[in-house]
Amino acid sequence: MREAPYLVKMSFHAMGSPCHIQFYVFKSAQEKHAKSVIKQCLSGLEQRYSRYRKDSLISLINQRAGSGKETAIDAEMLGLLNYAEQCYQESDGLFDITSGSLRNLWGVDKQSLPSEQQLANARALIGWQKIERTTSHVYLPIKGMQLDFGGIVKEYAADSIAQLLKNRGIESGIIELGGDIKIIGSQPNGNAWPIAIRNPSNQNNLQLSLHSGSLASSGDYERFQMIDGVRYSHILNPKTGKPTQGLQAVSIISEHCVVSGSLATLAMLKGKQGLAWLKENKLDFFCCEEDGTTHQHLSTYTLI
Amino acid sequence: MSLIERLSLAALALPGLLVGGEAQAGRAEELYHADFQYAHYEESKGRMKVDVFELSAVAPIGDKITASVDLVRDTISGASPILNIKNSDGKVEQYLSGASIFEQRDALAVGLSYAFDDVNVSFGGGVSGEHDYLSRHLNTGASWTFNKKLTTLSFTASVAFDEITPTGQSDVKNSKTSQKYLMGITQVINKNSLLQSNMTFAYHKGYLSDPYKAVYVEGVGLEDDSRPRHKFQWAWLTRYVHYFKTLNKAALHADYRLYVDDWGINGHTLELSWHQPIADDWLIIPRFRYYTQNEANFYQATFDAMDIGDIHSSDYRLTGFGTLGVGLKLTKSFHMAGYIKEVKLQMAADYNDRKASYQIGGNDEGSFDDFSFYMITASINMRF
Repeated sequence: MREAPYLVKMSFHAMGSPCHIQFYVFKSAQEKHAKSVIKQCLSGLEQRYSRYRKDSLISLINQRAGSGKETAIDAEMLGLLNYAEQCYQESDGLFDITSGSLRNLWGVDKQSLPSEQQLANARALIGWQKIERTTSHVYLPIKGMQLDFGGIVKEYAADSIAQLLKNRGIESGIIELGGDIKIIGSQPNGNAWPIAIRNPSNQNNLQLSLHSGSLASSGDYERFQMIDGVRYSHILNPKTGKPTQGLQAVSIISEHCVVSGSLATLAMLKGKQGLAWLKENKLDFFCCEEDGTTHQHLSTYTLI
Repeated sequence: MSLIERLSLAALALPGLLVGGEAQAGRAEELYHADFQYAHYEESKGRMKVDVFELSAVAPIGDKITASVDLVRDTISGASPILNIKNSDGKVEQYLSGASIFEQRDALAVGLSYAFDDVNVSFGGGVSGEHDYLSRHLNTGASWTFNKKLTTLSFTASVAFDEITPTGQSDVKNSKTSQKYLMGITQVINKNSLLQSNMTFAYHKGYLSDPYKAVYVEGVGLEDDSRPRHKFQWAWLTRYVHYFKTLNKAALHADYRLYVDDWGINGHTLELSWHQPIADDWLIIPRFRYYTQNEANFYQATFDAMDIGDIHSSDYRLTGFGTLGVGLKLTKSFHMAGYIKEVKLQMAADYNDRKASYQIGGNDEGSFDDFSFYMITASINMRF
């Protein structure tokens, strides 16, 4: 007879965010293996894509900007760049992973607004089409240009961990990395996992439950199911160099967390047209406008 | 396709999202592959026709190991040259076997490779057999990528044990052993070019003659084909690849291969191909190839009783000649979001003209051995 599965809970800090993972296993060896695989996956992704680590692959690419030296990339980096290009094309250039230089002007520690000259200087370093790349190499041609996978890698990590655990026979679980959620599969009793999205205009959470798929958010609020802590999110428009206006927050539900995350960011970037764009593309979303009005379209998912 | 479908499709190319995939750098082969290939080779003048059916599969086992299996069936029919004779005018003519030859060769090969971070090691083996022939082989290899993945060094070693029991001579069993070693380096020069250089050494020992070939000795008659019982071969391939960003990422491949063996044959191959991507995952590859070799030092089209030694052959493969070839290959890839992730269809046609007079530096052997051949290949490659 098959033994009953038991729940494993993990809470830790990774990718600059509090993370919570829960999954069901049948034996302690499986638990131990799964935990080590998760840690390995996250530390590997940080090692490659963290802007805060000077020795990461992304830092190496950024440091070499304008130096004449290109950087060799592997299949994963190629996949992420291809994905970023797709986002760039789908958004008419709004979703641009070279927007990193704007972050320095609008960082949370800044007390004053940047000058027009500073904005113009930063905008000169932005532009996906400036990147020189092949399937094996990438090069940023202007000194100071930066790649930033901020809107992609954490979500990709959630998808990757879910797949890693599935590959190891784990069928039931939920991954939450800094508010971005990916479901491995329903709870063993067949129930969906309860999720709460906080409405930034008041304290009433929107509750829903997911059997599968993912939920990711963008904006100035935190979403939680087992979350605490605070997250700051500044979505900067690469064309104006300024923070977007129109929406406070957007959450998207779709199969893959990386897709949910980039669509949420894209909606924020659309600003005042964001809501119409969400509807037009028939996305499953929850969003809050700047005046506090909320909208939602959650057709395929159960609201509790 | 809707926006969400387009993005999901792009996301599915990420290694971490693949079913069975792993979000880890460095390992390229993370998918199941299944390939089927059919090729038809045909020589002019009613000579040999070969049909090749090949089935191969690659599967990952866990995080690090990749297993592969490869099955091939060749069917060979048509006539093949047995010897040359001098006619009453003193002209050399080639004498072919009757057109009834039908052979079937079956081959099976299996392999395992293990990926460390920068090092890949592999082991493999296989058998191939015809009704009169059995070959067993083992191989091992290692490759090491370093210098920020710009440089790859590779080594392979293989050994083969062959037995031949010629038809009609069933009490005779001949054998040979072969060893082959390859050392290679691939260097990425910059984002637009790479250089590859491979050196191969091979040593064969045992029965290296062809039991179905004979030599014509003027005034005497026929003698069996008789070659040295050992052979040392050395080959050096240099390949340069250059990508042209402005031409939709087209690539030029230029290969030069030098071949030398201790039977006295020196060969040179020059091959140029142009890989042109066109819209919607179509790739068109025209290619040009020139090969030339001089004759082995014991080769003669026919022999005199005076000059024939113990070692002698009139095999057309050991003579001096040149071959000019042109070819065209078309490939089309389909990327899908379902169970099958990618399907690649390939079609290729090659035409080659072999003439004694194409030999570099000249050749006065005459045209008795000239022929042309073509090959048509179709394959389907699937990734799951």
